[in-house]
Amino acid sequence: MGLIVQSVGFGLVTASVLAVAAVGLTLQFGVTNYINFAYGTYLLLGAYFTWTLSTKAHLNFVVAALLACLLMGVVAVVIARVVMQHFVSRQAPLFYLLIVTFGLSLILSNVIEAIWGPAFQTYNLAVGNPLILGPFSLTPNQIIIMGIAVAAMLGIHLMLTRTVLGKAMRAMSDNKDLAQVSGINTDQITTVTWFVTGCLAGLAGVALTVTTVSFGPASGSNFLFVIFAAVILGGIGKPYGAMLGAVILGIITEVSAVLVSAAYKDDIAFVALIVVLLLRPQGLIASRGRA
Amino acid sequence: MPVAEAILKVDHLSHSFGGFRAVDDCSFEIAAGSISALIGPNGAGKSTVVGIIGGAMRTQRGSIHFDGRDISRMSAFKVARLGLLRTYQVSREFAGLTVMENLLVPPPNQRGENLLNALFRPSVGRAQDRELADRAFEVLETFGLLALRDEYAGNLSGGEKRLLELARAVMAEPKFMLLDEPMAGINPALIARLDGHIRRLRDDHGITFLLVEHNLDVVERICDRVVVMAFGRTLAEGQMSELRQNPDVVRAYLGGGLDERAAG
Amino acid sequence: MDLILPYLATLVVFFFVYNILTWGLNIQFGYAGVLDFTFITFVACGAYFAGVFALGPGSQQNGFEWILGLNLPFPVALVAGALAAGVLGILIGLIAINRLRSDYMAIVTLATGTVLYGLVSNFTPLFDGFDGLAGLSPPFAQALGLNSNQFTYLWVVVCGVVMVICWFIAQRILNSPLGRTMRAIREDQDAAETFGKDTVRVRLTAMAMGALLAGAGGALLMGFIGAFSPAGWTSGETFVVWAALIVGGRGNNWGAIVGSFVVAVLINEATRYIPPVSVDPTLVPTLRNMLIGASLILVLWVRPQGIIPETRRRFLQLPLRPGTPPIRGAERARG
Repeated sequence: MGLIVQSVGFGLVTASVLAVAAVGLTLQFGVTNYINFAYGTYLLLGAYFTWTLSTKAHLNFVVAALLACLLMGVVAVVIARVVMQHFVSRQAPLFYLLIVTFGLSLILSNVIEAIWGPAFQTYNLAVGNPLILGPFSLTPNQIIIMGIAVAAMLGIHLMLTRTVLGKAMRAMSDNKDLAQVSGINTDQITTVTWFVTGCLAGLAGVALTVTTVSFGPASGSNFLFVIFAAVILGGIGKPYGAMLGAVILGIITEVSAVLVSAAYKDDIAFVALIVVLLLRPQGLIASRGRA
Repeated sequence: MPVAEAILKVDHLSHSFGGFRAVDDCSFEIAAGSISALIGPNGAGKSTVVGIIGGAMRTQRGSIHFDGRDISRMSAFKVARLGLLRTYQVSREFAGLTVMENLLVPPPNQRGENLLNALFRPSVGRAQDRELADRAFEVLETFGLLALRDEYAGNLSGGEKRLLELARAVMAEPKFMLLDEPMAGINPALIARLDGHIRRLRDDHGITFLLVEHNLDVVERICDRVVVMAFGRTLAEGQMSELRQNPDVVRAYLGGGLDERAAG
Repeated sequence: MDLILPYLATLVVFFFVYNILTWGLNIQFGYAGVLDFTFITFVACGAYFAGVFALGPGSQQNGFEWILGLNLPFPVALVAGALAAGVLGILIGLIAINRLRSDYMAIVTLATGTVLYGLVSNFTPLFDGFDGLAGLSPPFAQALGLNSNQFTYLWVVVCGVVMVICWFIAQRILNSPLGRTMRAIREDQDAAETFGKDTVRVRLTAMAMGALLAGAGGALLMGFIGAFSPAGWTSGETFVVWAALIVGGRGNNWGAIVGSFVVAVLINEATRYIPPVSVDPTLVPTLRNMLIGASLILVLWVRPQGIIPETRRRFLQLPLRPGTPPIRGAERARG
């Protein structure tokens, strides 16, 4: 029993990382209406930027991570403007964009390998002694990650509800044509969305690699479809749904790791994805359709 | 209002999206061999009704009977196999196929669609294709599209695409055609031609038509009976000339406010 | 000469196998529009099953373990591998193909592939985990008394025969009403559905037949190399086939040949023979992968229909009845 309770604690840590990643993906998915298969490599790129800035440029880890997130935001915008925009503006069929992002994931993961090499890297971070928090025992890093994730989610919530930008993003997510005729500069909003999604990918990447301690060029490829599962579970384009999906999946995968075996964590997430697709493909939170 | 020999019966249909009730206890019947119309202001729930009848959306409450069979929970292709064929508001031609190929896809019971026939007895499919091609030539000729038969459907003009949709539908040998705004965005000359085609198909092939249409003049000209929807339910039924005098209908169309309510 | 010929023969083997693979993906995506982002999983399935049908039983004492181990002749193993992949195609298709969203296909195939990769790698009783199958002696070589070079030439012939069979499968489907319906579904699934086409069933057929060809290709690789492990089954390999199809031109099987030659032979296989740069041995494969990804995007950018576009089927030849108007469409088409 104690193990299960403890695994719920780990589940909340995983959920935090997953929530940041899933919200980033679902925001972009909702606004641009196509999925980014290179998103997993965006996470990894964020982690490597942080690693270089902290261990090579000797910056404070938090500063390095922050800079890496912003840098990832810029990278995401540049890729979207240079590559994706070409196909979007020509109204290319959806599968073009899916194949293009699929191809981008191959290019980026090999760029990562070419720059940083195939070896595994670790951050210069003290692990610290586990702290007892109620029924959970977590390392300081894990607690900080949860705190940052909560802060990020709160920030996203405020952005979506309080700012013109966030409201415009939600409007585009609901109905792009309607948003356009309502005078929203959809081009600009799309660019900002890519920046936000890039930053969140970077943040999630750093958080993920801090929890896994070491990481290599192939890390995070399995994590990508756990993110997909959270996004689909919550309903595509719905940030709050993605947060809910992340919490559910985070806890399910970590608890199942104790009950079944840690080796089958991904399979459990996959089963969850399939069950959702078969039973409730529109996601847990029903969408408001059109007449 | 029950009609003689109803081919389509919609009974107490309701449908909600989230909290929004798009269709609210809607009932009507369509007589076999008629050309009927479903009209109503934006947001009245017409598209939702069309989607549910065609099987693209699942029936939430109520029932739909077609030709004596309950089709409420049937998927779209099964509904189509019973002879109910729908078109869409925007042309949905197979853009990367030629006009001729577009006509060869719809016919039912193609033996060449069987994998084993395709692999081991290609002559079976070819023989049937020859017959279908002969028919397709005739259909293309009546629709004035014969010269375009080898053109990619995606390269046709908007009006030609509309004609192609109708020609393609004829190849499917339907009993019932549900046309979702067939006249939207095409020029008046072509509207007159489509009119003629619809009437001819009813007269020669006995196909029943239900048109969802905004152009009330067209509706008045070709439709025997009209069903008016507003706020998700049936508001009135009858001939267009009568309905123009009906105060409820006039209010629904002119009352304003409705369009703001509409979800699209 | 003694070096060049076997080397060329090896390239021809890969060229033939990639033709088969690219036609397989063409059936799935080029004909039916199924976004199969885990195509290599079917190749692996074919290789593994051909392997365990042809190999003897594995034993835990020797550190090799795998299922079956039937010691059957290679042609039987080849058919078994192709069929196993076809069945897997249906199974994955049942999850991935639905009437809701086309991007779900891409997500589900990718996810299924990743999970199967993990499962096969970690669960050693199946196909010996990460080490994979090994030790298959070159089929027919002993019976015919061939040395390794002669075996390579033989394999060119074997692959050629299988390739011709696969060509007929791919062409017959393409030119049949089934192929036409697949292409119609590719263009507009909903519209095809409104004409009474069971689009899920047709797409499952395409998935299965494409996977069947993938499995046959995998089995040929297994027979040629004699071993297969998860290392030869990374998602990067899926890109090779995708790039071959997109670069060569989808929807027609000639384009697939051109694409498989340019991508799979020129870029992929030929660069394997470039000596690794001494500073960094991974640099060459890394650059190759970038090149393959870039070629995929570049072709979609400048010539999305590929080098050889889909052929237009003309009905001009049919006997026209008297009074048929002159062909306006032919002139329009050229413009």
